[in-house]
Amino acid sequence: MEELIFDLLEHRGISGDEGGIARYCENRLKIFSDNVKINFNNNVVAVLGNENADYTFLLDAHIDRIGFIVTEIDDSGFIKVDKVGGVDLRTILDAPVTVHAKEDLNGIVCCMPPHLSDGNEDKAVSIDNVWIDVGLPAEKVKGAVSLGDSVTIFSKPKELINNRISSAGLDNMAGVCSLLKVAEKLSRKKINSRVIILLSCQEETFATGAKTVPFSYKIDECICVDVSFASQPDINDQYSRIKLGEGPILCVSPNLNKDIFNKLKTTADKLNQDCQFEICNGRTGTNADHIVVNKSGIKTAVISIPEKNMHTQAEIIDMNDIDKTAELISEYILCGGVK
Amino acid sequence: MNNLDLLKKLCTANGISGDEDSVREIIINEIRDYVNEYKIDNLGNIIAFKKGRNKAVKRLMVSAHMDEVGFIVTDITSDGLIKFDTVGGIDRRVILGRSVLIGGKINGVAGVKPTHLCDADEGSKIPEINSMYIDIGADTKEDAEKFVSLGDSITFEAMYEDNGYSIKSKAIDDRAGCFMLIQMIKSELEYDAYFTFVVQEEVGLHGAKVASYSVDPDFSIVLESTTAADIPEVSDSKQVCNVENGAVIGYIDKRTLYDKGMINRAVSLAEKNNIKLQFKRSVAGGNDAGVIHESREGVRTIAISLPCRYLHSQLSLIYKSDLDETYNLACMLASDVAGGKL
Repeated sequence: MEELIFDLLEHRGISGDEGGIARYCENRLKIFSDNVKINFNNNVVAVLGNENADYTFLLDAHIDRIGFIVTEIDDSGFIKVDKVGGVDLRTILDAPVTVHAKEDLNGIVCCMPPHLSDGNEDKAVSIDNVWIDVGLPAEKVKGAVSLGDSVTIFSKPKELINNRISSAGLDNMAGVCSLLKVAEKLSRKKINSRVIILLSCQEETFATGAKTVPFSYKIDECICVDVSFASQPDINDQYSRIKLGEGPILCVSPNLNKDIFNKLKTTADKLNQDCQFEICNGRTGTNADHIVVNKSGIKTAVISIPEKNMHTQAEIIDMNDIDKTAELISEYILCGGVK
Repeated sequence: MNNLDLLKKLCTANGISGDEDSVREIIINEIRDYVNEYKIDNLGNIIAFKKGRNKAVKRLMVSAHMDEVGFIVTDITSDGLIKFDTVGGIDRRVILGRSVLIGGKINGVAGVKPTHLCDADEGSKIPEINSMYIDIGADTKEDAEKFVSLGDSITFEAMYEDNGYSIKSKAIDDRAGCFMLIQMIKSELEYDAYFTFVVQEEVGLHGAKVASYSVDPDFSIVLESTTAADIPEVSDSKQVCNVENGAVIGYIDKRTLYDKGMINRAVSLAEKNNIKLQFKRSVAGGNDAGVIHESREGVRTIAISLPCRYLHSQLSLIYKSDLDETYNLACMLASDVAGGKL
């Protein structure tokens, strides 16, 4: 399996601590563009195509992931945390974590062994009771860890069968990976438009990147790339028809632009490529919710990569879907979008 | 303690109860040149004998179990998901989202319905085991059956880290005990002793039951990892024992009233040799001593344990200092017992 997605997953940045992943992406993008910048919030912006063109595409994917933030260190060196983004507390007890302190410290989320069960096995832990043990003397912990340090939940990125991979943080390294592939594809072509790739910060909290970066540019249309739900047990709504490996999910929503949606669909047909559909009744839960209302309004679409077990260490995606997403977006841009 | 690479090798090996083969193989390779004889019995226990400088006055059996908790494949669904049951006691709160290895080779993860699609009640509820499943990336039963069979063993994905002070790993219970036993076997013994590496502790103490019958010892020392709940929001009396406070012994647990003579001897040895020793502060857990002390006409038995946090989950934690204290006390007590000083 190709290394890019595994390299991306190595750099774990929760919302507000995207420096490492942003610098990695900056270096990747520099292979394909001479105009790459990181701003003070660790938003990465790369400009491709014809910089002086009068038509501009914005392609957005968020680079942050969910995690924890340190709120307290007790006398014994245990570290108390709160959530950053929608961490699923059903998966947290005994989870391997990394405290990104002066140096990275690996730890475990404290839990009771079954021998001493409190009888609350049916119930997920409350965030008020989440503590981390890094297995070091208290003075070492206090010397290394500061309040506000970020904590990521660790699961070793791994291959499953059928070209699938599982890891924490595939939301949204799957999207970022697609856009890096788009950059590579477009860099080999002559494009008449300007293409801005935005790898945006803080989507999992307040969408700060999506709200602020587009303000600096005159943008004609935008595609946001994120992950969305694929079928798994106990899902009985529309997502029960979304399958891994059956192509990107195009979103239909009153807030989104129908011309881009239709053109994406036609482009997929032209590529003889499968795609799937999700229907939202307004907000999409992605950066698009903020980009559509930027300045005087931006025509926006959302393309999602099907994912299982979202917001857990066990997120699963199919690499084929990343490739198909990249192919669809590249072809769409080469066809001129909805200019 | 030296040779912690061996501890890592033992802890990262996969061996749930009833499937201890790969652990047994590592152990046999380590001990075969240091014992006078060893055999593998009908259940898969290793029973080893090593001569000391002197003939033993009392027959001693030192024991540790090779198995770890995990899961077993019970069904494969039409959409290619793996259903499982637990092997040994595992709290349902440490399963969802975990990475596992099926049959020692196939990666899988325990699936979770995304919280975004759950109602408030569902989003904070831990499902029953029979509603949980492991995803290996298959879409159909036929697809999954190429890689997984009913009855396959499932282990938590191995992880191991030594940060200089503590060790975080899978299966410290009871590979740390196996590790100490191997170190004892590799050391020069004052008196002859039997060493048993037993199977199936986590599912009814079966290995220890038959091993103690075969060895027919006068005394037994069980080397275990015991639950240390010295973590935030647990009252002192419920913490059982503490890491960094040395070897753990108890007067009683859920299976055994321990031999007072052996306890007293352990206490005096610890005092005399400046070994850190702590007593269990509540009646919790049980181990192979439960069947060993009832073997034949009865066996005088003690468990010397290593305080271990987060037992029976993917990652447990021990302090290296405790490993030294526990090992040193076990060696001294073994020598006294086999030498007939009790």
